[in-house]
Amino acid sequence: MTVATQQPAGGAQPSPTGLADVIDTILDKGLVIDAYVRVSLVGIEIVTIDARIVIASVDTYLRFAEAVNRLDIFQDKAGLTDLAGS
Amino acid sequence: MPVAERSEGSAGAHRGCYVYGVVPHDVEPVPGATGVGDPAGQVQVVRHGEIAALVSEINVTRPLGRPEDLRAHQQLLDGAAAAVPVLPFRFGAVVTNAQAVAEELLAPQHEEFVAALEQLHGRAEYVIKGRYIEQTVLGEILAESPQAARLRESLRQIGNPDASRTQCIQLGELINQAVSAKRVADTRTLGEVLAGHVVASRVREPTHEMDAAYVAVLAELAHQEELENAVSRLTPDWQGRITVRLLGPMAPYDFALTRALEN
Repeated sequence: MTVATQQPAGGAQPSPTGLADVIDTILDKGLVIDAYVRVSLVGIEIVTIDARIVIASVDTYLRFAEAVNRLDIFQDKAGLTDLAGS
Repeated sequence: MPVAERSEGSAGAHRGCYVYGVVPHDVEPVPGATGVGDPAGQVQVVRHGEIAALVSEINVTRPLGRPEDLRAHQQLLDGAAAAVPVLPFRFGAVVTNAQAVAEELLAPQHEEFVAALEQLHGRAEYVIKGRYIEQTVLGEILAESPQAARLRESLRQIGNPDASRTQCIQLGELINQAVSAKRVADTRTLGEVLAGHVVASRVREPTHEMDAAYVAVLAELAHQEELENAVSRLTPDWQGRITVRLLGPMAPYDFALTRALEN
């Protein structure tokens, strides 16, 4: 995963876009040249990183399960009620 | 796969014309503005009638996609969008030369592009991204889902996560479903807060498992402050559980409503 390197925005002022935001947008959205130009189209190799996580995969599930396990420590430290009700 | 245009057999055989976007004909690039590629070409304007394309020369035999290339594309278009209407192309649009841009891109689509630019006059895209604060939202889910809480408890008693992969997956799937349901609800809340402050909005597909909301909006540039204030109104409810960012103004990638997106 690529992480956007940017500072948290103060208030709701527009924040600078990180590379992950750029990738989401310019590789996925916008007009597609192939829809307009056919004869003079030039194919060019695009090599780029994909910052997106495939959500709803087994990897996601395992990460979530692990995160929930880690949550115990956090909750005990915070003195919260045991949410499992045991 | 690189497909260089070699038919000319000249020094220009490996050169192409990279297209950033379409703008009104009277737009001038910032002097010295450079584009994508290594070395980066000077940004130029190809005009036809009432419209123009922002382009730069590029070596088509080299792959494209360094962070600098992505940023050059984005910065040129977003910079333009803050001042003039712009129809942004997706990254990587290359045609043979400037003549082809005028004759094959601008001329046949002249009316269509003029109409689309008129729709965008004084407007730009903004993106609102909400990301869950993991610990908070997982705590919410355990409190709301007895099934998830029970599964977690039984996993804790087993102690060895390797021995209980199936249950881990089961728990993770439950959490994922719960996060998805929260995402739908929080995206709806965001939509309600934005209503009346935007011309149009599009919900984007989540790109991260902790995405709380991911929405692109088209808004009046002159009303940016209203939009900022509207997003700020989420703070009481979202504080501590969702971090929200407002990006823009940027080129209307999600709202360049022409044939290409209708297909």
